[in-house]
Amino acid sequence: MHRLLTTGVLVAAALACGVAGAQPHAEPEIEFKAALPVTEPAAIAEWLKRLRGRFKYDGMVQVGDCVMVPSAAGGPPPPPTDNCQGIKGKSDCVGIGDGPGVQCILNVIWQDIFHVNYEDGTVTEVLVSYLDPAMELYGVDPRNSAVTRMMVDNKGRGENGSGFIKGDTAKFKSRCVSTVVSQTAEECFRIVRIEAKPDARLLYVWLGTQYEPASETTFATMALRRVTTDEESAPTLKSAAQRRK
Amino acid sequence: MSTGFKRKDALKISTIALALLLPGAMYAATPAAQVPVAPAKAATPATPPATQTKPTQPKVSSKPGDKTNEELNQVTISAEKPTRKVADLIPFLRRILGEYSVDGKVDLGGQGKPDERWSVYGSTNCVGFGVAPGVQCELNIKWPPVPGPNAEDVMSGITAMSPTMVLYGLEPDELGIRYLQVNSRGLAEGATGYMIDDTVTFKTPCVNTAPGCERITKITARSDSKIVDMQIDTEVDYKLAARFTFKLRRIAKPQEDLSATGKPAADTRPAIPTKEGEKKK
Repeated sequence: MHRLLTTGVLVAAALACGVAGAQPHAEPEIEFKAALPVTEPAAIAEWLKRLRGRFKYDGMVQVGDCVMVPSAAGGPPPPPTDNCQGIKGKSDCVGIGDGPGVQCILNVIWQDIFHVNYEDGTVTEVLVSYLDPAMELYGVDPRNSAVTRMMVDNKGRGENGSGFIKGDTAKFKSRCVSTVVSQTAEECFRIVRIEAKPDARLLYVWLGTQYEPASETTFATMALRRVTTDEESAPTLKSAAQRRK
Repeated sequence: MSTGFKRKDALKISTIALALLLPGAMYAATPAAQVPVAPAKAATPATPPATQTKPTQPKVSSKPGDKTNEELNQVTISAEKPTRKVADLIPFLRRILGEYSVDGKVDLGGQGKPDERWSVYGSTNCVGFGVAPGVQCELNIKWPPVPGPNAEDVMSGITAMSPTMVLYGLEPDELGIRYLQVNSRGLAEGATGYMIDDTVTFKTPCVNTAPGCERITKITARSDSKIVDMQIDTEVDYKLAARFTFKLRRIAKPQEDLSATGKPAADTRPAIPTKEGEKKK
């Protein structure tokens, strides 16, 4: 009986393999989708309107390794470095009149990052919080199918650049404002990427630096959670007297 | 302010003046000229003031149909050097803070003709933030919509400055003041400007217009003055096509008055004016 059962199982298995071998192996379908550039002024205006609203910021800045690798000799792991700090903050973006222009007030902060040389006592500034407060202004450049952005930080320094939209993400490029990097590098650009999907409660912002054409480093990643919808917040810019009430 | 007029600067001014006067002098030498042109006086070294404005060149009459007659509207020769230093620009940014009432004129033809000049009215509020500070201005300036003779759109005939947001910041590496302006149609214009004396000048290509168009914005804010002058020229192929002249009269200092009284100062904006041509009727 036992021998009969074993034989039956082996025959069934052989049949199954035979059936499988008879059918050709189906290639999985892989669909590649590249983000399409957004060039129509109406589409650019529609993307800008997604930036309106109130947001809460959560994220992290990272300018090096966050965790030191423990030594091979053993022993307790080294303490975490200061190269990574959390980001907190909020912003309020409103439209300008009936057009697609957007104006934002930011109050985003992280712990300043310095490198201390304990041998000679020098302190080097690496990344100091500069968005508390800051103002941003977005407008349309129809001739170049671009979005113009300007940000003025808490020291009054202006960062101005144009950006192009691909899919739901806009990438802005502007010259670095007098940072430690710009004083040492020949060419330094600040790269800002903003992903804003339609009807999304979460927007994403990446801040990076580009020193050479092929070298781009992202030092901050932020998630913007929409606190109120734009129907609740003011659709147009109130006068200063009304905003102060 | 001028730090002294040097020989080198006198020579520069003389050379520029000579270059401007020479074509006129050559034309005057031809038999067709009926109005004599003044000789090139600027060729002789003199001690002119730091800033001098050359008067309009005399209009030389010519035969009908002669298209070569051109008239210079205004030529300004200045020995002042522009400054882009942060230490000089920060006081200027602080001076433009405040709440203002706005009045002035828009010349939609750029020729000074009364039927092309319209009165404007509105308000402006400039607030500062940060250390330097950065400045954000909200302009609400209106004038009656002006269509063309055949109901076509006239350049700037339809006001798009209600509202307009302008952001000013310091350009890094002491290159000047950076500004970006976004009007109520969402169109953005930006440039880096320099300062001469109490006037900051910005030049930027026009947005959404034909090539060859340039917008020149001049903002004058003198210390201890409650008035800020703003002039916006639109030039097409180096010819003035439109000129906006605004006077911003401060009605409240930035945030200080509000913190003390909780209310802004009394609104002293003038009554809504009408078209300049109609006033004379």
